[in-house]
Amino acid sequence: MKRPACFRRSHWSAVGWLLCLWILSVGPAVAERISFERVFEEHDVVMLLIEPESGRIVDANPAAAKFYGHARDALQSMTIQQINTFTPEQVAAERRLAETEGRNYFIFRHRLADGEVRTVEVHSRLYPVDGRGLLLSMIKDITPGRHAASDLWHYQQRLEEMVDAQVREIEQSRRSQARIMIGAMIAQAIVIGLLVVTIQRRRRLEREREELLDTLRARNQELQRLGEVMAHHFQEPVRRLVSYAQRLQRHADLAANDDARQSLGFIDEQARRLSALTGDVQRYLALDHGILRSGGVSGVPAAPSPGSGSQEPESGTIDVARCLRKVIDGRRNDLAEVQVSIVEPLPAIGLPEKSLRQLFAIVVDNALRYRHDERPLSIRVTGELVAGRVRLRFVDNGRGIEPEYRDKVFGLFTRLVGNDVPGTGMGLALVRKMVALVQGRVWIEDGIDGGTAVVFDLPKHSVTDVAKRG
Amino acid sequence: MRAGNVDNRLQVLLVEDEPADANLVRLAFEEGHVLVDLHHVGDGVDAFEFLRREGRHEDAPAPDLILLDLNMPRMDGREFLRKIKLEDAFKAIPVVVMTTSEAETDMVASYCGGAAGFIVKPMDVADFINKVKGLGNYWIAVVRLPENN
Repeated sequence: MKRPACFRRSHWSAVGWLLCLWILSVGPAVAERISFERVFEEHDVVMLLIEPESGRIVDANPAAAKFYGHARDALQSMTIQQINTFTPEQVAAERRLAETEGRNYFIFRHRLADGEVRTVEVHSRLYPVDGRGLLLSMIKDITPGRHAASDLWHYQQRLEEMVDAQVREIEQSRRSQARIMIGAMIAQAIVIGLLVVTIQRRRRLEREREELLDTLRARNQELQRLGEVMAHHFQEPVRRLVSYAQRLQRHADLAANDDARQSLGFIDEQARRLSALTGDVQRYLALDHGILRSGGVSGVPAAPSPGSGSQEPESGTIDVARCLRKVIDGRRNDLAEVQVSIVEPLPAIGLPEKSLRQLFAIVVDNALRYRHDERPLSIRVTGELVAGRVRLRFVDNGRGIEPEYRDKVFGLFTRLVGNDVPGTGMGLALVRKMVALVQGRVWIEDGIDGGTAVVFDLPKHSVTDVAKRG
Repeated sequence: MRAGNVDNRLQVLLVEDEPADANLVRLAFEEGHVLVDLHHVGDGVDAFEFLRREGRHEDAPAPDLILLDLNMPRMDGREFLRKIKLEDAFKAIPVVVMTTSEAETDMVASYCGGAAGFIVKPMDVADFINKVKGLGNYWIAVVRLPENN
């Protein structure tokens, strides 16, 4: 860093000052060797000889003339008071201040010939000169130093301000960081709090879900029990109604009476219908619990059970065509005049054989019930793989089902004919439920010559046993 | 050839809580012309009293065949079957379950419990008469039964 110029001048001035002071302090012996006049004349330190009482400037050296800008003889005609801008009171105050501060110099403000005022350090000492005491004053211009000091002070102040500013900035940064830390900790605490609340809420919801599931399981078991109880407690009196109605019908006197015969016939018919409805509802409820009762749908003969004939596996790959043929064989009397064609091979289906037989029995029975009055019934069964699933089609040439009813017919107790045609309206509802339990679908399309096509979309030979669920 | 208690007629103990059903069984035997002596009790407790000739049954004959309903008060058919097969004096008596239950579990449990047959009571009277006739023919004319003590 470049040292300011004032420092360099003051450096050498300090050396000059030290030299003068040394000369003055070491005594006459040294002074004899270095003539005072020579020092006074030649040295560039500003010197004045002053009468202490009047302040008259007795002599000024060339350095003084140069410094003040007055000719030497002009200075010799002046008083120090004409140069020193301080008032006598200010001078006295400065003397006292110097004494207080323990310094042996004074700081005055001297005016130069051009009017400029300079700040000077004045080192004075009383010496005997030509038999009288004169003040030898050595004057040092400290105005540049003052400026330098001022610059330094300002520099220092600026540094201090910069440091202060830096400190403030650091402090602010620390406070800001502390605020951020606190904010982050608060945010973290909030997040943790939210997490805890969320976890607790989730656990509560899990508990509620489990409780709900337990309630549902209990209700399901209750429904299952209801289904089982219905089988006995509802069917029993109905069976007796039918039995005794039939017995009455066989009594000759009642048989001869048309009204009695007809009434007993209605009783018999309605009791059987009630029995059929009860049985179908029981079977529908049982599907939810994985229990597929034997007996099929009311009015539909039970499909042959496993063990009659060759043994067939309950799960795994089932010969669908053979299963269908067994169902058809079981209805051979009803299907005697029906043309049934099975286009083989039929893809293996992911349903247990028992469920498959029930499904086929219902569809075949529906085809029989709703055959066309004026043409022989024909049923054609085909199967193919579509997008990895089995598409099975039962197509007949019966009465058909209008498009607006093709979804309705899968509803509970929904029929499109009167009660003169046997049935409870539960067959297709059972079919849809069985199929849904294995994530399958069933729908109605146009059949042959206005007949019906029952189309199934079923999983491909997966081991899913409707009868074993629950 | 078994020796019946009375006039060589098959002694049949019907264990059935419902009088209407018991009556139907009686009528079926009559209309089917199956020569049996039909004795009727209302539940399993009564049946054991009959077998042990206790109380009002002190003169009861030893049955050759028991027709057993399943759903009865006090002691139902399932419990009766289990208990009778534990008693040496009675476990040889064939028991045919006659019930309205179509549950396969009931059928399997009955056979596993030692039942000699399982008949589902049909709704149709004619069917019922035919079944009872067949039952009678089988146990009278086809199989041999132990001599009664």
